[in-house]
This record gives sequence, C-alpha cells and structure tokens, in this order.
Amino acid sequence: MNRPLRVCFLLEGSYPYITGGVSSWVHDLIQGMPEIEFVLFSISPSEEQTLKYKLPDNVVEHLDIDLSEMKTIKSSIKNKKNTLKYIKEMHEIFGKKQVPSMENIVDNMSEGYYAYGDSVKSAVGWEMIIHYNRLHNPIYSFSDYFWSWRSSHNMIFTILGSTFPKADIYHSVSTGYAGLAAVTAKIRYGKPFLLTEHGLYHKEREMELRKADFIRGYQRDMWIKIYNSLSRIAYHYSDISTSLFEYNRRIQISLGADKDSAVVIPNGIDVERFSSVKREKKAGFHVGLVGRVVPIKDIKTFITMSKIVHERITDAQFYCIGPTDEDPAYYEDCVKMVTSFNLTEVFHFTGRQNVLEYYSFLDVMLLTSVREAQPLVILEAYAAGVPVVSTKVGNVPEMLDYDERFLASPKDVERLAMNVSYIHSHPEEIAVHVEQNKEKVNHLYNKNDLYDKYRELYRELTDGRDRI
Amino acid sequence: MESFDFFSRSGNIFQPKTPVAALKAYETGFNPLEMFIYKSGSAKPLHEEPYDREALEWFLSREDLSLDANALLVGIFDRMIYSEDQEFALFAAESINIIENRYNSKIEKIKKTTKNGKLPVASILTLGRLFYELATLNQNREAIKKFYFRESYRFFSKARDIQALDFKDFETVIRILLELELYDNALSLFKKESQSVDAKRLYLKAEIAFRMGNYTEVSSICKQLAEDSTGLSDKQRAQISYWMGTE
Repeated sequence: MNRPLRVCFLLEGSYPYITGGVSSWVHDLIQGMPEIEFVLFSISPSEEQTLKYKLPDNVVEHLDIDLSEMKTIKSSIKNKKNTLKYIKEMHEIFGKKQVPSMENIVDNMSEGYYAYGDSVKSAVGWEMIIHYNRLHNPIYSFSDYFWSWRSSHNMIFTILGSTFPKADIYHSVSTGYAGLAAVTAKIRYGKPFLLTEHGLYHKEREMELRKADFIRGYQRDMWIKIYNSLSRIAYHYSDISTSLFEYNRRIQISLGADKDSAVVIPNGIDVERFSSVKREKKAGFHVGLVGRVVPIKDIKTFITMSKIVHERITDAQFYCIGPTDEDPAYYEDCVKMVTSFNLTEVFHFTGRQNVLEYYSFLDVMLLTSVREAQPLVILEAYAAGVPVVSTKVGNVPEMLDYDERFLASPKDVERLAMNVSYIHSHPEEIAVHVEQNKEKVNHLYNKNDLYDKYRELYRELTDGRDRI
Repeated sequence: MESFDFFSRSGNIFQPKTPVAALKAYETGFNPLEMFIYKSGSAKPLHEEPYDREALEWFLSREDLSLDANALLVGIFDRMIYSEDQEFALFAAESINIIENRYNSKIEKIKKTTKNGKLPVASILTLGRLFYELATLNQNREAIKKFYFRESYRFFSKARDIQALDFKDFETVIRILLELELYDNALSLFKKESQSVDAKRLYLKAEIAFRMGNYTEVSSICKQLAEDSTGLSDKQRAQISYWMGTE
C-alpha cells in the first residue's frame, strides 16, 4: 500500500510564526486533510521565533531557514565558471522581463553551496556589480547599491543552496523566496510545484517599499525588479497556480503563468458556524467593521463616515471590532478623532471580540480598507445574514455582485455614508438581498469544498508518479 | 555616442528618470547632453492626465516633500481614487495613506520630545503647524479637515499660553478660526493680540471682516492698504483690487 501523500509547504513570513489570513488558511488546510502528511519549510527573517499555532499531528517535519544569516559554504560548486556565467545571464534576462533557465543554475549548484561568496568576491561577480551599477545607478552612491545587491543576492543564494525536506509535492503559498524555494526543489528533486496566492506577493512588497523611507532612489527600483522577477520565475515554473479571484489570475497569467494551469479557488468559511448565528433586532441602527485598527483598514474613513451617518440616523451606533494594539499611534489618533467628532457615546472600539455576538445584531457590516484580497469577513457577514457595504478593493466588487448600492471608491466617505443610509431606509429590499447572499456563500464559499478542491489538485499533480 | 543615439541604445546606457538626474549624468560623463535636453524638454506636468504613475511614484518616494508638493500629490490622488482601473485607484488610496502616515510619524516623534513630562514650546508649535498642514491636505474631506484644524488650534493655543506667537503662526491661528467658521473668535483674538497696524495685519483684518460679511469695514481697510501695501504678495494685492472693485 502507498504511504500517505507528503506535501511540503514552503512558507515565507507567515505560518506558523505569524498570525494572519494566509497562516490561518494553511493551518485550516492541514487540519482539514488529516490523511495527508505535511512538512513545513519556513523562511524567516530572524532566528528563534515563537510558534503562534499548535502544529496539527499530521505535520511530520518542520524546517526553518533564517534568511538574515550569511551561510558558510559547505560544499563545492560543480562548475564555477559556468555557474557564474548562468548567474550573469540570469541578470540580463531579468532586465528584459523574461524568465531565465533555472535548471542551468540549480543543476550546477550543490545543496549546501551558497554562491554569495563566489558571485560577490570573484572577478566575474565584481565586474557584474560594477556593470549594473554603471547602467542603473551611476550618479548615486555606490555603497548603497552594493549593500542592496549584497543583501538581496545573499537571500536568493541562500535559497538556491538550501536542502529541502523530501516530499511528493512542493506547495508554496506565495511567490517570492518561498516560490523560488519551490522552483529549486522542483528542479532538484523532480517533483511538482503547486503555487497558491492569496494576494499578489510582488504587489504587496511594492507597497511596503513605497512606504519605507529608508530605501531610496534606484534601490527601490532594484528591489521591485527582484520581486517581480521572483514572481515571474514562480509563475513560469509552477505546475498549477491558484488565485482567489479572476483579476489576480489574469495578473498571474500576464507574468508568465500557464493559462490552462492557472485556476481560481476562492477561500471558504465555516458556513455552519456563521449561519448558526441567531439574529436579534436590537433597538437603533448598528454598523460594525471587523478588522484591526491599522492604516490599511482606513479606520479614519470609518469614523468620518460615522459622523455623517450619525447626523442622518441619530440612533446609529458604530463598532470597530478588532485588536487595537498593532499600531498604537494610529489607534490613539482614531480615538481622538472620535472625541473630536463628539461620537464617544456612539462609536465603540471593542478590541478583540467573539464576532458572532456582533453578527447577531449588526444591521450593516462595513469595510473601508484601501487594500484587500478576498476578505473573509464579508463571507462571514453574509453567512450570518448581515448586509455589507465596502470599498472597491481586491475581489470585493465581485463578492458584492458589482452592486453600486453597496460599493464605494476607497476613501469616499460620502458614498459609503450614502450606501449605509440606503440599507437603513430600504429594510424590505435588503431582507431579500440578505437571503440571496446566504445562498451564495453556502454554494460558492464553503470551506469543506475548498479541502476537496485541494485534494483534487494534489491527486492531479501526483497521478502516475512514484511516491517518495 | 552620436547625438540622439541613446534612443537606440536604451538598454545599454543609464536612463535617468528626471531632468536633474540627466544633468548630473551629463556632468559626470555618463550620458550625452542630448539626453538632458530630451529629458528636460519632454517632462510632462505631474497633474496632467493621463497620470504617469511611475513619475508620481518617483516623486512620492522623495523624503520631506513640502506642503505644496504634498498638496499637489494629494490633489492628484484624490482624483485617481475614482479611476475605473482598480490598481490605479488602490495606488492612489495607498499613496494618500503614505503621505498621512509620514505626517503621523513626524507627529509621534515630536510628541516623544518631552522634557520633565512637558513638551518644549518649539515642539508644540511644530505640532500645531503639522496638524494645520494635514488639514490643508484634506481639503476635500470636510470632517477630517475640521478635525485636524481643531487639533492644530489646540496646540497653537497651548503655545500661546507660554509665549506670544510670531506673525506667521498668529496668521495660521486666525485662518484656522476662519476655516472653522468661528469668526467672532477670530476677530476678538485679532483685536486682543494685534496692536500694530502693518499691511499684513490689516490684510488679515480685512479677511476676517469679509468672512463676517462686514463689507464696509473691508472697504475701509482696503483704502488704507491702497496707500501702503508693503510686504503683501501679488496675490494679496490682487485680492485687495478685487474687494475694491477695481479689477
């Protein structure tokens, strides 16, 4: 009898050390497939992190790699001259926004060989750095360029020299370094590579880079190019790539994913849990936002909108349901804003709460985020029977059926207020809408279906192949 | 390299993104002069549609942008958030957040400069100015704008309790009161703290009178200013002409 299927999850800055959407998704998937053995390969920015999840019993192995560490070369390069030539070619191809042949590079590098030393310290490596500095950065500081080059390439070479756990499938939950690790493992061990993306890695990194004032001038462009190139490599080499919604799938294809192997698998929720909420009408009109108090959720827009809505609907109450400790300065600003708007009696920061209690009486669930992928809170609210008003971000327009009664551009407080007021003044129409939404979640976004879809993908990828 | 050869060699030579970078590249011998001429002649104003996202991003990435530069960017982003292209709209919304976060970081940093549990008056004044700038940047978001004006006023009031404000900060406080439509407060503050009668102060008084609908007073002040408008800007002089009906 075949031994259980073994899937290696390649993870970067997420499970099991960081909580969040992707981490919860991985944790749930592992728990939802007890018949499969999982091994974890976690790429971390630093050593000795604390586990944020209790690993399920079917996680049989867990390996960590610390990207900040400069690795010592433990084995030799097969053909130094050729490998450096391939690395140089790789840069030229990246410059043309194409995908280099990773087979040449991976085949020439043994496990435990970290090309950083040879590529930076050799004559060829040094010449390469000088050449690209003259091409992209000649009028700015060379040392800034050099240190960015060194840091980014050290991480890439650390991945290329890593030893990965043996598995039947390499399943990466992002492109980036985790995606590169999956490509390397695929080439080295001849096993399939499944790529799942929730957001779009290169876009998210791009946003972080734009926020970071300490990365200046060409350094920003260089990092953006690297992240884009890593995504291209992952899309090109993945046997199947999944995204949460069609818009992201199209971006994956435009960057090299195979059209026929790029599929949409939306996230799912525990429909039974949320639909079991017993709805009870509470006096007044109650608007809630489920999310962390951080700038990306744009809580200030929620507060401003509350001010407008409260002027129109005097018995309205507003709830910001989520942790307030992630960005204390932002939270402090929000509290001040509530005070300044004279909303202290009606606007409540609840902190972490059991959302089910709030879903039982909320009249509207609001989302004011400036960026989201496929927010599960919308599905949860739908399953619980709460109508939703949201900004047009990520997959939200599709989830809300492109219905302009419930959608607004990010930061458009007037429109959000108008939509919330619409729900208040059209209870009968909204009651019909709520029932339709419940049906929709039940049929399209059920977590149990998600497990089946991934079981099917795993089967498809391993059919006709020997198990390890 | 001959003349405009750099067009055909675009992949092989440094491509400066701004006229300043092109000039620097020419001076240091990396690019021909033609590259600078081309770059400076083909620069498209940032606020012209269709917006050039790369140019906006490049500009936004610069640290310590002035209030005018930030206001220009926020004005563009405010229009972009309604773009049909979702990525464009998100870029705009995130960019507004970035600018706001930069202000918040500055504010937080200053708030930590306490000595013996108290903020030095210079820090209090800086906070007042920063909140005033934030309010100015939120011109299209009425409620947030007023919130920031109130915060700004709070800090300027604190500073006033410690020392007299210089004219620039005093003028800012008057403008905040006008924005908050607290005209009587603006007038009584002006009377209380503005004894001298130079042109700048008179002009400010005319502005208060105009907002209060006291046109006789405006006309009387304008007559005084017509005799001596030393220190006023061209824009202010044009405003006086408009008030007097001479333009």
